[in-house]
Amino acid sequence: MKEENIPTEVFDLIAQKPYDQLSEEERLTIKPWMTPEEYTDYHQVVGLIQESESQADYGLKEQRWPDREITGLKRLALRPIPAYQVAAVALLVFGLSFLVRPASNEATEEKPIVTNTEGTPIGQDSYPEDLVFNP
Amino acid sequence: MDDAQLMEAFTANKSRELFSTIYQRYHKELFRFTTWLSGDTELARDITQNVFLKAFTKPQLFDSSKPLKVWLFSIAKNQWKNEVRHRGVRQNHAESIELNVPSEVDELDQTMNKTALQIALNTLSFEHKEVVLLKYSNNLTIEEISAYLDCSEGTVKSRLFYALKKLRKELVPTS
Repeated sequence: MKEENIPTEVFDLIAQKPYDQLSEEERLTIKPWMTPEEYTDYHQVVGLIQESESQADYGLKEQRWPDREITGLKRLALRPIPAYQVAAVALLVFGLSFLVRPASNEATEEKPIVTNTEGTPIGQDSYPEDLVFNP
Repeated sequence: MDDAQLMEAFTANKSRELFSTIYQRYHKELFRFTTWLSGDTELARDITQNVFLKAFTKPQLFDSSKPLKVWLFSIAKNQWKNEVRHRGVRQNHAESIELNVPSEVDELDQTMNKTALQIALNTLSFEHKEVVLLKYSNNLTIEEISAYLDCSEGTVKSRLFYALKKLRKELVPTS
């Protein structure tokens, strides 16, 4: 007998009931296709799949849906940009920064008002007398 | 409102409430399926999100002669194939199992069972694994799987039976 001809019910029963809970009629349906031991093993395997599912975390969040279909330029604007394109643009900007930079800073550089911030040593002999604080 | 009516109404007026109902009905099942398919929960989230985004933006592509569930699963499978192509995702599911350190004996048993199951599933070909998961993890009927795979119910049964035999051999050492 070909496996293609197995009644659909057999596959459903494997998921639903252990062998000892099958009715006489159900056992007769199963009998041509598998032994009670095989049925029990298949039931355990399917049980493992289902049990494994119940432990999983399916905490998906409902996310935002677009208000309407995105078309035209907006679609282009929202298109994800590949990393290599971002890297290429960054390199280009970096390279251009050397070309655009001014040849010399001398012309634009503003001269400081105070060039020497160090104090002039004033000896007791040279100090102007009129500036001596002497109330 | 059944799925076909829901999709028809949504295609007509693009109501967010209607789409939310579709989402609530199927997001868990789709996520479960894509998680098994990809072996990667993050990728599965992306794929699931993309499936709903496609269903939202192009509901007119829904073929009402087939169940909505089958259509969504077909999109998911195509999305996954695209991801594999673009990202170069390897199908090494055993490596991608998230193993947390179990704190209790029961938890340890569950983790071991899940790992053993994942390894056993990976011994199956993609076609056999897909069928067994659609049937027993996602509770699709043989008829729905046949529509999804676009093949005869006999082929589905044959694959399913072979997959069960192989899993039994892997998971029940005395068999």
